[in-house]
Formats: sequence, C-alpha cells, structure tokens
Amino acid sequence: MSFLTINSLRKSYGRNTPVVIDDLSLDVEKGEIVCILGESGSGKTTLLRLIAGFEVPDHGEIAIDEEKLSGTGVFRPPEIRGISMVFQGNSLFPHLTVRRNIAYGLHPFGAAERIERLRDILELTGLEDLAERYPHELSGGQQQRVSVARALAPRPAVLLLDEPFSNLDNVGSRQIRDDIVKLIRQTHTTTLLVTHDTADALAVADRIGVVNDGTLLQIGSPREVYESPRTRFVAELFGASNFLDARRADKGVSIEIGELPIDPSRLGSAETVTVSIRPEHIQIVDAGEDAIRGRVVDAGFHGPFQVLLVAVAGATGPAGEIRLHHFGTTTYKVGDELHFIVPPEKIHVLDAE
Amino acid sequence: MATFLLVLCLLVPVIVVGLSLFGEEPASWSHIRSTVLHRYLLNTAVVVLGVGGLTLLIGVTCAWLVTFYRFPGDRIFSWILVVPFAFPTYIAAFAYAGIFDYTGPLHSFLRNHLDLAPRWLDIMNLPGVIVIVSLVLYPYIYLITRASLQRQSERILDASRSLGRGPIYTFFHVGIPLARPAIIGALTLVIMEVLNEYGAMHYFGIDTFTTGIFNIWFGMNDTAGAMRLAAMLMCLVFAVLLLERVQRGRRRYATCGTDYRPTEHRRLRGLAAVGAFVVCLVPVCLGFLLPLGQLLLWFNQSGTEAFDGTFLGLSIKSFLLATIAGLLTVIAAVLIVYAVRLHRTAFMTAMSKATILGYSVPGAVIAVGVMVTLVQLDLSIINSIGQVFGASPGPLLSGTVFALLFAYLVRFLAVAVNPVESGFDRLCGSLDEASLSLGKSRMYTLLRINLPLARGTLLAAGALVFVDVLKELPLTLILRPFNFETLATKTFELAGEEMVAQSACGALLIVAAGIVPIILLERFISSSNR
Repeated sequence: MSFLTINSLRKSYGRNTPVVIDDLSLDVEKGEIVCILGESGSGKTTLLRLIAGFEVPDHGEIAIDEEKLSGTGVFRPPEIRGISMVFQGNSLFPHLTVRRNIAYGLHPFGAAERIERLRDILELTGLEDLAERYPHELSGGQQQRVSVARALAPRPAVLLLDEPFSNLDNVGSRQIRDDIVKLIRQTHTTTLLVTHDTADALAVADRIGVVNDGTLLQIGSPREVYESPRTRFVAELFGASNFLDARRADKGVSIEIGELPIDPSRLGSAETVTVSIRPEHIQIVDAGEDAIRGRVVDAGFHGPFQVLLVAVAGATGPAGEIRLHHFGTTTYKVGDELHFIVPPEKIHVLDAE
Repeated sequence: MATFLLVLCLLVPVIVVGLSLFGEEPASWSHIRSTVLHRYLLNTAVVVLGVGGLTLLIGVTCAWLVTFYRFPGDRIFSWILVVPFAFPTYIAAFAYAGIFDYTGPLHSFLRNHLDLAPRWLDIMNLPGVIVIVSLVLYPYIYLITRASLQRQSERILDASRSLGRGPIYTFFHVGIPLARPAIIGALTLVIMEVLNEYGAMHYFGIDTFTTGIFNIWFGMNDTAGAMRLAAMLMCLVFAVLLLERVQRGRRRYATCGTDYRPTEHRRLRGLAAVGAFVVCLVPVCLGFLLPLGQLLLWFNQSGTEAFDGTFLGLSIKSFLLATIAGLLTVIAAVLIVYAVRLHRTAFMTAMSKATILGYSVPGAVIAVGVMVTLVQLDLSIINSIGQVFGASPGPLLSGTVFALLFAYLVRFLAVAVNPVESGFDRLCGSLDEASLSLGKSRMYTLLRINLPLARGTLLAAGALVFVDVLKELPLTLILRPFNFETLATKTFELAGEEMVAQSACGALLIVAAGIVPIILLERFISSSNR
C-alpha cells in the first residue's frame, strides 16, 4: 500500500460549473517526490488544496498511511492533517521574522525540542544569518527557502509545493531549485509538487504525472513520460515533435513521407494511428538504401543545434514535411538536399485521443 | 506657484495657533492651569481611552464576523453596520438623553408598567458619553478593518492552518497583526473625532479640551487663554499622529496581491449563527435604530409646528452653505492634486500632505486660528484704509460667511484630497502626456481629460464634504456671523434649550442627508477591494 493514496477524486465549484478534478487517482510512495505537471487551469492547484484540506472533495478519498483524511463522512481540517503546504508566491507572515516564521508550526513539540528543531532547520537551510530579518528584507530566492524551511520544520507527513519556482528570477533560480530539492531529499519528506514548467519537473521528480482538465493523463518516471508519451498532449508538453498520421502496412506503418519499419504488435488493432517522432531522434545520413531524401525548406540556428524543416521528395503539403534537429558543424541552407533515417525504436505510437 | 500660495494660506490658521505656544504666557494661564486644566486633561484622556477601546471591540468583532463567516443577514449587515456614521455625535447624545430622560419612554415604561423608578438609570455622565460616542464612531474601525481583512491574501491564512494552527489562533496571530496598521489608522481617526467632539460633551456637561476652549473663549472672554489651550490640544493631536507613525516600525505588511482571491466564508450554524447575528444587530440597533426612533417620536409630537417657514429657510441656507463649501473644497483639492501630478517633486508631495493636517486638527482649534488670523488682517486693513481715507470701515473678513467658508476649506480639504487623488491615480499618466504632446495646455488637459474621467470621484468628494459641513458644529459655532444659524447650530441650540422635540426635524434632516454618501462610500470601499 502506498503512503499517500488518492482515490477517484472529484471536485467542482458549484453545480453548473465544469468539473475541476475529474475522477483522479494517484499513489505516492513514502519519501518520493512526485511532480504534477499541467498548464494553468488544469486543476493542479485544486488538487493540492484538496489534499491539504482547504477544499472538500465532491467524491473520492484521500488517505495517508491508510488513515482516511477526506472521504465519505470523513473530513479532517487542514490544521490536523500533518500536511504542510508551500503556496505559490510569497506566503510568509510579513509581521514575523524568519525565525518566528519557521517556529510558527512547531507548537506540537516540547520547548527543548522546539529550540533544537529550529536550530537544525536553520542550519540545514543555511538561514542562520537571516534569522532576525523580516520577509520583505529577503530576496525572492531567500523567501522561497524560508517558505520551504517553515513547511518542513514540523516534520510533515506530506509536503505540498504549489509552483515553488515560478516567482524566482531566472539567474539564480536553478541554484535555488537544486537547494530546495536537496533539502527535501535530506529530510526524506514525501512530496507532491505542482508546476507548469517541464524542465523543473524533469529535473526534480522521481515520477511525473501529467494533468489536463482535471484528469491524470499519464504518470511515470521522467524518462518514461518524455520518451514514451501516451498522447499527443503529453508529447507536446515536453517540446516539439513530429506528429504523423500512419496506416498499417506490410512491414510497419506507411505515412506520407514513406514507409517506416516498426513492430506491428505496437499498433494494436487500429488501422490508423498517430505516431510521434522527436526532431532530435532523426539522423542525417549519407545517401543509402533506407535513407529518405528531402530538401531543406526552412532552417534556423538554435545554438547547440540547427532546426531544419525538410520537405520529403515526392510528398506534398505539410504532411510531407518533417522537423529535425541537426547537431554538428555543417550548416544547412534552404534548398540543400539531404538524406535522413528514423530509428524504428524512436517512433512512438500514440493512444487515440 | 499658485498652488503653493493656496497651501500656505490654508496652513496659516494652524501655524498661528502653533506659534502662540512660543509667545508670552497670557495672564490668565496660571489661573487656568491651577483650576481647570487637569480636569480637561483627565476627562479627555478617559474619553479617548474609553471610546477607543469600545469602538475597537465593536468594530473589529463585527468586521471579523462579516468578513469570514456566513450567517443570517450577513450581506445586509456588511453595509448597514456603517449606517450609525450618519448620526452626528451630538444628535445621538440628545436622542439618548431623551430616551433615558425621566419623562422619556424608558422611564415612563418602567414607572407605569413595572412600578420601578431606578435612579441609577442615568446616562448623563462620563461612561454614558463614552458609550454613546462609541456607538456612532465604531464604523470607522469597522469599515477600515473590514477592508483590510478582505484584502488579506487567503494564502497567508491558509499557510497558518497548514502549519497546524486553528482558525481562532490564525485570526489573532496572523489576521489581526496584518490588519493592525489599518486598525491603528482607524483608531487614530476615532481619537481625532473624540478630541474634536464638542456637542455631545457640552450637552452631557463633560469638560474636555474642546469644551474648555469654548468656555474660556466665550465664558471668560479670554482669547489668549483659549488659543493656548487650542495649541495644547493640537500638540496632543500631533503626538497621536506621531505615535501612529512610530508603531509601524520596521515591519512591512504589504503582501503581493497578485493572485488575490477572496477569503472563503465559513457557514455558521445553530447557536454560533444566532450569536453572530445578535453581535452585529446590537450596534446597528443602539447606534442607529434606537436614536432614530426617538427622533421620529419627537418629530411626530411636534412635526407640524416645527415645520414652518423659518425651518425651510434654515435648510436652504445650510444646504447652500454646504454646497458652496463642497464646491470650493473640491476645486482646491483638484488644483493641489493636479499640481502634484504634474510636478511629482518631493516638495509638492510634502505640500499635499501638509494640507491634510487640517482634518486632524480639531474644528475648535481651526476656528480659533482662523478667527485670530482674520481679526489681525482686518485690523491692518482697517488701519491702512483709515490712514488713506481718514475713515474706518467695520470688520471686513472676521465674523463673515467668508471666514466660515475658509475654515471649512482648511478643515475638510483632506476629505476631498484623498478621493480626488485616488481618482486621478487611477488615470493612466500617459493620458496627460498624450494631451500635452498634442499641443494642449495644462489647463485644457485638466478640464477636458482629467476632470471628465474622474467625474465620479469628484462628485463623491464633494458629497463627503457637503455632509461634513452640514453636521459640523464647533467650528461653525465659533466663526458664524452674528445671528447666523445653520441646521446644525439651530438643532443643537434647540436641544440645549430643552426644546428637544422641536429640534428633531433638523436632526432628522442632517441624519438623512448623511446616509446617502455613507452608503456610497461603503460601496466605493468594497468595490475598490474587488
């Protein structure tokens, strides 16, 4: 049994409003960091507020360690859930110093332990020198560190983070992100983090759950979700890709740009499917038997690589064009001819939507 | 430059009073100090503390209930709790005196139906005046606290609860401390009003600084002594203002309201709901319905005889006076605000801040300052005319309606400056600049761009000043021309002469005129929060 279990959760605000969370189930193991990735309005903040106990679910259950917190006939108020939440933006108490902010939730501990805990957390977060400052005297990154320190201080069973890195300026944000994640790892705190930033999710999470319209589309390790997106939505979330309509053919699938060899078992029973090919997986090669010939119709330089739009010989229209990333020293210009191959294992068949 | 002169003119009365502290001690002063001063001080302190405490209790409690909970009538309470504002303190005072009078409804009822004649049921004393004044002044605290509580980010309150603290702890340790600057600001306003209070204190026979100024000015005919007392009162006011500044300290309370969402209302049930209902109902009843009932009762007794030609004339005169004062004040406010907007220098900002001083200085002090200034001015004019023409005219400025209007301008400018400023601030600065860069003059820009766009706030500012002037008492009593009556002075005079019933008509008119802008103000504040 998982540590934090969420079972067919549903929530809407009012009778005639769209459902914000729709039959969502999720399990989080103890000590795990799970990122919920989704665009704004996908319901991810509502999910956190339901778990924290700020909202009452219409249906479904939330439990920690098999103890029910929300569910039929049960609703435990937020202050006795043992769940700390770090809110989006600055939610530090502006009238309290850093020290008193962090000490705010330490009331269940005895006096001696409280002092020790406070010292430990200040040391762990490297905030000792800032302890007597007021929140407005801190930088954005420092504020965020204090917010996390405050949430971790009472040793919560579960830590919830709502867009914790969105208000940081770009320069130091990666450093702050890494510091915060290190802190969470050191305390082995079970964490659910909500973000719209794919890069953050990939860097931080043990597992990523992609949410859209209140439903969980896919959950898995960062590599799994990145390389094997189940739907076009998930694939697009992690950057540009080539989406091609394909029909079942003898050796694999046939698409506008030619026939591609893949294992027919991956197609299931469908006659037509959509496949996704990431531009960085397409390799430019010398002319050869399997290579597909095309002509560059658009080229843009992106630093480490060149983005090329290639019109496949013999095909017409946008369906006959494919986007690829070219890493290397040669520079292609519009009008150049080239050959490329698509490694079969990098062709990803999507679920029908 | 013109604005600078305007501001300087408006500051003269305050400066004149302040300077008197450094002049020679008037002969009567040692007598005043040894006989009445300590009584003035003590009474003033007790009333300030009492009213301050009571208004805080009522105002904060009601604001808290209305902001965070749902209970029967909460929507109606949220604005009706402001309505006692419409009662000038002196009208509430004599309405209450009437209710508790031996021949009044309360004693009559006890005597006739219960055969009781409790002697302790007397409110014409210090505690009585504290309760009555609090009942009509608590809306200051209520209104400002509520606005501040509503603006609090729900995140911060939620953060407290997710750290294991319950709603009550959260309210006292996060909600109230965050609202504290606003609450103290409101409390400062209440204290200003108490220090300004003349009518209720005089009617109840409580000697405070303000009534003392009247006693010494009119009773003892001692201008210098009254002026010194006024100067001391002004020092007291500045001390309060300074304290308010100091208490803010190092902390900053502004939270970034980027993802502000209204705090969630929790529904109260059963006894809790009834309790909340009663707690909100009591101030509305005692601060508004009860005194209003007494006024209506009196009006019913004497309605037709009081409603005669003199009353109609009086009303027209008062309304006219208040309208002119409102108009002048708004014009002055627009000039000052626009000058600050155009120049935006530290000096101009300080100028506009200085004009607000007038509102914190009690009316009686301003009246003394204006009177002394204008008498001096008159004397020098008369002398120079005398030297040139050999004949002296009578006083030109002092004791005229001009003096009264000038004093209203000094006292109520801040009332107009604040809304005009917020109205102008809401206009994008590039609008003016666009007009100027298209070759229009500043005056043209002001008249054709800024004023039409800020029309609503100008109207609101004018209405606020109108009502303030209509009910103003101490300043008018000192500065009015001989035999010149306004609704407020006549009402107060009739009440003082035991012709309370006849005064009800005027009192009702003042209260009625006060209600409309108050509701507008309440709407304005709650809409600017959304």
